Amino acid sequence: MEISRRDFLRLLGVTATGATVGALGAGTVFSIPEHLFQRISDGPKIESWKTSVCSLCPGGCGIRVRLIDGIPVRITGNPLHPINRGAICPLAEAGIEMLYHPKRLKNPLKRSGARGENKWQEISWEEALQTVSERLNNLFRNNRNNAFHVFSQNYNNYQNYFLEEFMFSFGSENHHVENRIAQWALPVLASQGWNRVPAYDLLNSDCILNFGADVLDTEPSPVRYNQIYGALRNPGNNRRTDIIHFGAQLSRTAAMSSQWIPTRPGTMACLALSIAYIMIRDRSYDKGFVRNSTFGFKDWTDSEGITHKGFESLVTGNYYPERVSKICGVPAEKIVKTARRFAAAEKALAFGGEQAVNSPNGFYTSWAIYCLNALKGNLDKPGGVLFPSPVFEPPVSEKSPAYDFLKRNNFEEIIGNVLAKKPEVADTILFNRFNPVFNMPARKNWHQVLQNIPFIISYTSFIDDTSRFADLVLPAPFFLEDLDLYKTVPSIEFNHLTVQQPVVDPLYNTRGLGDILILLAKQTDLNDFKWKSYEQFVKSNAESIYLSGEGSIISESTDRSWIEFLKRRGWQPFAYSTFDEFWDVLLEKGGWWNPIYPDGNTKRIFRNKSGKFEFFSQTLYDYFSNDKGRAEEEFNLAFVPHYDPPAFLQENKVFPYSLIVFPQLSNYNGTGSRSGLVQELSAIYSREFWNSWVEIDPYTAGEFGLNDGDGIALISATGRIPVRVKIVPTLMPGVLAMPLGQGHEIPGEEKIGQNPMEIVDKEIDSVSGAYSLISTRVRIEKISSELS
Amino acid sequence: MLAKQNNDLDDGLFYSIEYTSPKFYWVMFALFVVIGFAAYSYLMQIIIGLGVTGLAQPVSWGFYIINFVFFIGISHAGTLISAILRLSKAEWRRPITRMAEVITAIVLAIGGLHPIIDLGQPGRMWNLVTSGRLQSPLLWDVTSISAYFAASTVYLYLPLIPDIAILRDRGTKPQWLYEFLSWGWHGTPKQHHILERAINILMVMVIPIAVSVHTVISYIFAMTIQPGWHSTIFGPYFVVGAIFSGIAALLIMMIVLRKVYHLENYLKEIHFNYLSILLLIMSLLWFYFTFSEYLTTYYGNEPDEMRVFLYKFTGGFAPYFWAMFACNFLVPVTILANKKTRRIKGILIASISVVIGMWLERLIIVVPSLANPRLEYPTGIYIPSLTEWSVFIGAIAVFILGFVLFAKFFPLISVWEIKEGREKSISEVAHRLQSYLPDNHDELEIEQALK
Amino acid sequence: MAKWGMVIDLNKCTGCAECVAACKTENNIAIVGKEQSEMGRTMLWMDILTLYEGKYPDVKVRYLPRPCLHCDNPPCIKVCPVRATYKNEEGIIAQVFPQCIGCRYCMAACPYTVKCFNWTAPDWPDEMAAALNPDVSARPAGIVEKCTFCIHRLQKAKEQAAVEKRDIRPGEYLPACAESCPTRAISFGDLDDPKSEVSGLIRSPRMFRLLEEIGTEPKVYYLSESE
Ligand SMILES: Nc1nc2c(c(=O)[nH]1)N[C@H]1C(S)=C(S)[C@@H](COP(=O)(O)OP(=O)(O)OC[C@H]3O[C@@H](n4cnc5c(=O)[nH]c(N)nc54)[C@H](O)[C@@H]3O)O[C@H]1N2
Ligand SMILES: Nc1nc2c(c(=O)[nH]1)N[C@H]1C(S)=C(S)[C@@H](COP(=O)(O)OP(=O)(O)OC[C@H]3O[C@@H](n4cnc5c(=O)[nH]c(N)nc54)[C@H](O)[C@@H]3O)O[C@H]1N2
Ligand code: SF4
Ligand code: SF4
Ligand code: SF4
Ligand code: SF4
Ligand code: SF4
Ligand SMILES: [Mo]
Repeated sequence: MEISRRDFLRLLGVTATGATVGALGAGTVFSIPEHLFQRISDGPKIESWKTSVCSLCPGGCGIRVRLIDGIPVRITGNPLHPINRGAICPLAEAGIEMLYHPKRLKNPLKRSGARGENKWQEISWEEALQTVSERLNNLFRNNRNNAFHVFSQNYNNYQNYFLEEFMFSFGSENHHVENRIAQWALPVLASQGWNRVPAYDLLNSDCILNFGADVLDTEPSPVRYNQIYGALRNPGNNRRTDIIHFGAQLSRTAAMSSQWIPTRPGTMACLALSIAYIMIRDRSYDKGFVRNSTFGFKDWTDSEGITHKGFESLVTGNYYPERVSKICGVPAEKIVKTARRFAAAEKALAFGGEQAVNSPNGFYTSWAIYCLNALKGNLDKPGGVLFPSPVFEPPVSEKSPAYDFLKRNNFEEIIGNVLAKKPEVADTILFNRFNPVFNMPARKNWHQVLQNIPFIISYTSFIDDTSRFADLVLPAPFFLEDLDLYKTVPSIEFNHLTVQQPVVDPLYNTRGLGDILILLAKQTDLNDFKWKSYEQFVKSNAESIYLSGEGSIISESTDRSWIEFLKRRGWQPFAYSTFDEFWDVLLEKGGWWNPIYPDGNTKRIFRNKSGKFEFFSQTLYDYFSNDKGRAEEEFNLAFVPHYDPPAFLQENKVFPYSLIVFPQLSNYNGTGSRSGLVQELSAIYSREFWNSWVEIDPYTAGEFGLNDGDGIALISATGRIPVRVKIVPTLMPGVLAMPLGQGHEIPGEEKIGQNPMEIVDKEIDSVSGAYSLISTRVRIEKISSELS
Repeated sequence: MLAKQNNDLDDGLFYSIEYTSPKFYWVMFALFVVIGFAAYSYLMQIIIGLGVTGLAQPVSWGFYIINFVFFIGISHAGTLISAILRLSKAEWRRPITRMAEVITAIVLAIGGLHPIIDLGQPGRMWNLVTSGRLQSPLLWDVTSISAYFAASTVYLYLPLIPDIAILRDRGTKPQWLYEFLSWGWHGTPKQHHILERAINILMVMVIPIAVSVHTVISYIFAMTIQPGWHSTIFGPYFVVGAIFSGIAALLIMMIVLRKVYHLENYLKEIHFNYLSILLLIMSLLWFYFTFSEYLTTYYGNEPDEMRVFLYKFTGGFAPYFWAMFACNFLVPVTILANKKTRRIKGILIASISVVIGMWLERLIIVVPSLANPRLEYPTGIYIPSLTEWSVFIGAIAVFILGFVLFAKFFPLISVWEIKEGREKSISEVAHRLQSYLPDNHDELEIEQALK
Repeated sequence: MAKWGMVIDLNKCTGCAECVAACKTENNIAIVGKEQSEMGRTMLWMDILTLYEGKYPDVKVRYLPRPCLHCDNPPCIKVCPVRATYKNEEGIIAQVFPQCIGCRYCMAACPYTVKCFNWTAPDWPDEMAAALNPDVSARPAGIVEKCTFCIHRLQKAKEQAAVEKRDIRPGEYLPACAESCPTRAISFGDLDDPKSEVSGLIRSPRMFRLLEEIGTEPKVYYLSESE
């Protein structure tokens, strides 16, 4: 039933009197299912609230949804939720709008035009699943299990575990999760054998060195980090926390810091090691910790009698500030001053964001940064790096390669193989809410890759840049319609679990991923895949928490100190006689948490061979043992943090400028671009609503005679995009910055703004295999047309 | 006999009323097309909303308000000038007053409509009556414009009565109209006496009303605390500007009508000369006010004020500002201060320049203050839309239409006053002169000399 | 009688724009669409001003959230010809949507440029229509609107208090922006109550008000950054 917008408003009782004029100007139509429509027209307008979790980004915020007669009208933060304490971010505000979005997929679709043409024919679920299971059976029978690939978004939900179990049963190792937060964990893995993201105790620290982690806008949990930064800047807390932010751009995070130190892209390893240099030369590092709990600081000799240079001599030999200053653009005095401030602080910590990792030398960069914490001796201490106890995870997480942080991020490998026409590599791909054609550098490559894949399935709520190339589209419910569990957000110092409770029945003929997989397992005869329903899986995981007796369901009366008080006396904050009772309260309150930090025991945090913090990583050494044929010097360097000058920093006459791409809270991966709300607010700083822009420093702008709003073409080796200029004093000269998230390309839909990924080069990090987003060099040309 | 003869003398003034040329229909047709398009544009505006204009945030007032101030300014041509000239017994006024009064009546109606065109919810206009707040300068405007409109239509009508009676007596069609409008006028001395008294009273009343009108219009702006608006001299500044543009508009109309209706015999060089000297004086006065207004701003150097100031002098609005300065000062002064160029053609150029200049002044008052908010918002731009242009051009067409229709039914020059001039003024002037002159001259002697 | 006021701590505010978003969804503020937005007709009752101070590399960026300041001496209501905007007895500058004739005089008179006009009928992108809050009436074309301090929430709180036969409690009436702000940079409450949080905050030496010199007496206070 198609209902005019005005009818709907009238039913909700919100049209003002005298709106006759308005009526003439409107006339758009949106689709709302008939049963909902009935309810709106006849309902008594009773208000109710349901808790759930926001899944528009991996931030894991607990939400409370306001319903009128069971119809969701607004998302607010869940005040009890320990992550976000009642607050949310602008993207979540757009959730309701996206739930009712007219472009939502309503039925399974079969491709009816050419690939990418966005022409479809609606089919039944039976037919859709039949098609998939036939293909899977075929692969299964021919022992080509690995030719089935799944690409998943990296949300902290349990669906990915479930999918992982399915892939296990099916026998494919190719479940790919683009998981860059994992790389916060990589240096910890290298040095400590600890394979999770550690937590940084920012709130209790006196001095924080932030190497370009734009935590207020992105990973790992924007609302939480906004709260932390807000609290750090509250003079009421009697603490003068110094936050020193390094980065090429004065981002929002940098703006909230006490100091912003402009740093050339790709050179942060060098900077971090120079700070280490000063600490070593001043002998202001934690000598006790370094002596007793580290390995590889001094020169050492291995079992074969070969002498290796230690961290100390590597650093003192190479990273003196005068030299580093020329590389990273930070004045030497500033490096010295910062290092001394860091060393002098009672509690201090250093952390690097993804952008440190987003460089071709990213892994070593983040490792170099992480080593500053060891020099400071702040591991497992308040105000330093924390290592929370393991979270409740399904057993599959232990064996799955998708959760092995050192498994190379092999997208480039896959692309290469597919382009080399090795069809045995990939036969069928399932994109599980994953949109590489939009999100990955070298997008043109993905176009080609997709043309070379025999069969593509997309599981998504909307047709996006990738699913338009699919052969079969499975409509996914929106998160407000779907049941799931959300695990602890990485980098948070306590454990928690949030229930993603469906707050409304599915509006359309969609199915949850779990239930789809169960049906597929049945039709593919996967005998060891025993789940009856996804709900059963969810509840069994919740039950393991119930049975553990740890922590507490979040509630008004359970703040951290209270729980700690009770635990010390061996009491439980709450007792439930049955799991069903527990489950009901869990749904009502929205989540569970355990704020208690495990008691200190150094063995707990050093899980590697030496049981110490390793400046020379034996874990890596073992991992790459088959590489040992390499030249000694170079080989040795591979296992210690160091600065590797990235190729893109070389003098380049053709492409004189650096391009960095930056995220915005309200539209990070482009998830929000479909929302009018997001479009009319994410550009609040640049005022280029419904558009993209490129930021440029006044000096460079002057050279080209550019004014705000003028058009330029950004040209890189990969491509060319036209975009408007915004002059800001917040960039290193010679660096251009462009926001991510706009420029979706879907036939039949208007393109809004430009996607910088169009011109981002596809450099990858040599260790992790992750894409580098900062290594693009561009030139600019003034243009007058082409811009909308 | 004498009267009859005089009537015959002025027969030409009735020609266009009594004979309709095909040209008339063409002009009407063209005007209706233009007005029709404007009406259509306005209808669309009612349906869609003010979104069809070029207005936005923060420039929320534009063409409609500019034209409102502009048209009301022009309206000062008429009644005010005619009243002043009458009051000062300037003999040369006789062929001019009617035209001036017509301009006022028509332009006032058009100008008065503009704030309504500008309303987002014209359907709720009634709220002004049911719950109008007298504290709002907008209400002051409504009041004083209505008063001015009432006064000036009556002021146009009263001196028209004797002419209507002439038309009635000539048997001009439509008879019923003239019969009705002539109000039983037979030119008896008593009637003359009453008419003159009425005109005299109105004449005295209309001047303060007219002054008040443009004063309160300036108050719309001056009563806010916005930079560039909040000024104490805005009242007189607006009045001066209004009279200035009014005279220019009157001159243009006189030159055009003289040509179209062959009034060379009535509107002589001397009339233009006198009026243009008045225009020259107003131009100097305008300059004086403008200078005072901007000098105080510049000297005070208050940052918010200066932003608007610089926006006008060197920023985005500089082309308009300097064009205004040229149009309102340089051009008219150069042309009019020189006897050689103070000819009809020169006067026409100067007047057109002033009308354009005064329109630009309204633009420069309304837009830059809005475009430069005090807080750090991006400065606004304003580009009027097709709708606004078409309503503007439509308004001008309505003005022309008004004139054409008026001329179709009534004489553009006050016939009886001309007649009266011929019959009485020489002796009257002689009498007056005699009273001014120091030596005892004989009245008759002067009269002879005057002839 | 309470006198409602707001304090925004710029030290805490990270410029995340959640207050802007919360305000838009809570108050059914129209999404005007690409074309209208590019003409400068985006509607934000709560806006964020971005201020740059100093020169590279010693630049500072400040974010200044700006609702209607609910001036105690408001230039906007004086000029309204029909009493479509007025100060109620609790100091809130209210807008009476069905009364406004759309003359935009108040817009021109507000020194803070906070008011928005409905240039066209609020033709939400279809998808937005279902997301409306039934407590706030949608506005037709041709009228002016602005931040109301979420006055509908005050009414609700009062109704609740009346049912329970008590006064409304501190914190019971909280506008949407204050409620959702991640950093709790926005405080709201009764300025006349000496014990309220806001009364305490405005005694801070960091307190300032926007354009204090023009005498509008805003009831939205700011706390400046401490450095
Ligand atoms: N709202 C929302 N939030 C999200 C997501 C979402 O979908 N929505 N997605 C999440 C996901 S999957 C991820 S991986 C994260 C990604 O979060 P991030 O990794 O933080 O995002 P990036 O785009 O990689 O980071 C780019 C930033 O690095 C800076 N930069 C670039 N080069 C350099 C350099 O050489 N030095 C320094 N110091 N800075 C540099 C740029 O200015 C820019 O600010 O975001 C997460 N957060
Ligand atoms: N342009 C650009 N490219 C990027 C990045 C960027 O910020 N900008 N970031 C990079 C990073 S760090 C990452 S992790 C990757 C992320 O890349 P992706 O994992 O692809 O992330 P998204 O594009 O946010 O989401 C993919 C699709 O999921 C669908 N979707 C959204 N919500 C739901 C839901 O609730 N259910 C279902 N079934 N589907 C949903 C949307 O239709 C969306 O098109 O991109 C990388 N590339
Ligand atoms: S940060 Fe925003 S989008 Fe991410 S989970 Fe929290 S509320 Fe949702
Ligand atoms: S929500 Fe709070 S922190 Fe975010 S911009 Fe608004 S006031 Fe600042
Ligand atoms: S900020 Fe503007 S709209 Fe709000 S009360 Fe003050 S003058 Fe009026
Ligand atoms: S726009 Fe509305 S509220 Fe504003 S002054 Fe005019 S009538 Fe009053
Ligand atoms: S008080 Fe309410 S209306 Fe005002 S800005 Fe905040 S949310 Fe918007
Ligand atoms: Mo990511």
